[in-house]
Amino acid sequence: LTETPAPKAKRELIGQITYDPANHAFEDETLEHARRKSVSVWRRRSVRQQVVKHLRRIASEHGLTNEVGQFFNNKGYPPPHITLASMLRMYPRRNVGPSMPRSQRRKTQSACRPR
Amino acid sequence: MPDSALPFPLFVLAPPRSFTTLVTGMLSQHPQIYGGPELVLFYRPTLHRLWREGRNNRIDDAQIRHGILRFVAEVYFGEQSDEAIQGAEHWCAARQHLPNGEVFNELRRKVAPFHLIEKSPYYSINPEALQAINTHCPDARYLFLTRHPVAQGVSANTLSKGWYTRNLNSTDTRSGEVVYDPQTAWHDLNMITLRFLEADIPPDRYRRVKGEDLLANPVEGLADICRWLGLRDDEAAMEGMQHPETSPFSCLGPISALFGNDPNFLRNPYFTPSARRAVPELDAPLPWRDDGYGLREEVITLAREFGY
Repeated sequence: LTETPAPKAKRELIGQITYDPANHAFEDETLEHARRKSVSVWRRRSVRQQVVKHLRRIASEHGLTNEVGQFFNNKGYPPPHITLASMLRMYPRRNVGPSMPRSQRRKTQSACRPR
Repeated sequence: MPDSALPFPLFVLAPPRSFTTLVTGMLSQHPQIYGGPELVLFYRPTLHRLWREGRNNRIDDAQIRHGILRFVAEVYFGEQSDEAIQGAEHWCAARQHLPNGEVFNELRRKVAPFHLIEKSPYYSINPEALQAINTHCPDARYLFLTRHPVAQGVSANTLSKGWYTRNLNSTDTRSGEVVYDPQTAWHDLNMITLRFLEADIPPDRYRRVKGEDLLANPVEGLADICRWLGLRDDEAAMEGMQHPETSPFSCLGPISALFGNDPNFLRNPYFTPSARRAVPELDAPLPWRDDGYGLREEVITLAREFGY
């Protein structure tokens, strides 16, 4: 008796996995355009999240956590109608910190920072 | 000692975020096994190219070298200090043009009679790396760890603030848009590993294990692996393996080579037994997609083959 061996499963890849950024491009121009757009949107979003995180930290140092916090929803970024310009208009410079030369400001802040 | 007389090495193969760090950390605490950090030696043909090209052709990809530097510092200089790391850099520089397989076998000779354990998720990305392992270590054993695609995807998306899929070019174009989706990487990395194991490695030299099963029942799972490898499976060995924190590599390294492994593990290298979590449905919408798409047919088929 001879047994027919079971057919081996096809081991085909479905993507183009690589760490090399030079090989990330699609041959199809439409897809490549979409890919670049997706990457740039992601980059912008991640930079914006970093900025918001930084802004929150500054706000907490100046006791403005609630005022700044109300602009950010759970996703960590403000709704589209809130822009940086509109926030600056609403909270002018006098509210977010003393206006003085950078060197003095740093000295003052480090002196005031709790040990 | 000739290479053929050395204790066989053990390679843990799996895509990133598949419990490889924890499982390798546990296995490395077996009394007959030594290892821990990701050496990544086979990812490039020589140390020179590993230093020059890193993971993605960037010369500043320094983290990829931390594992080999910490390992050499510990094994040859007896400590992991900045001075020892400097010595390890000299050690590597002296071997920069040797094939990395020879460098790996030199490390095996150094740690003999222990079995050297190595895991680097990068190997699953690069079929040439897997072939290089087989060429230089024809007696190697392979532990192929799997994880549920949805759980792995959720975990991978938290890695590097979501850059995992972008670095790996893990895309899905079913919707006509290019969506970065970890399921493609899960499928292809597992597939590359399966292709290698099924085509080039005799069945008795590799074993596929579900990571969830192993961590839910570590004593039985680890003992089973030890018996397969022909190693001790007594109570003392099992007890030791449940304390990966005792390894000299289960912590952050000196400032000149901080990592060499998953930073989360290095900060918290403990194994905490926990009850098995509910397995996500394979045909449900994916939690990381807001367009309602689920797993691809190919991914579901492979996940079912793995027993999910």
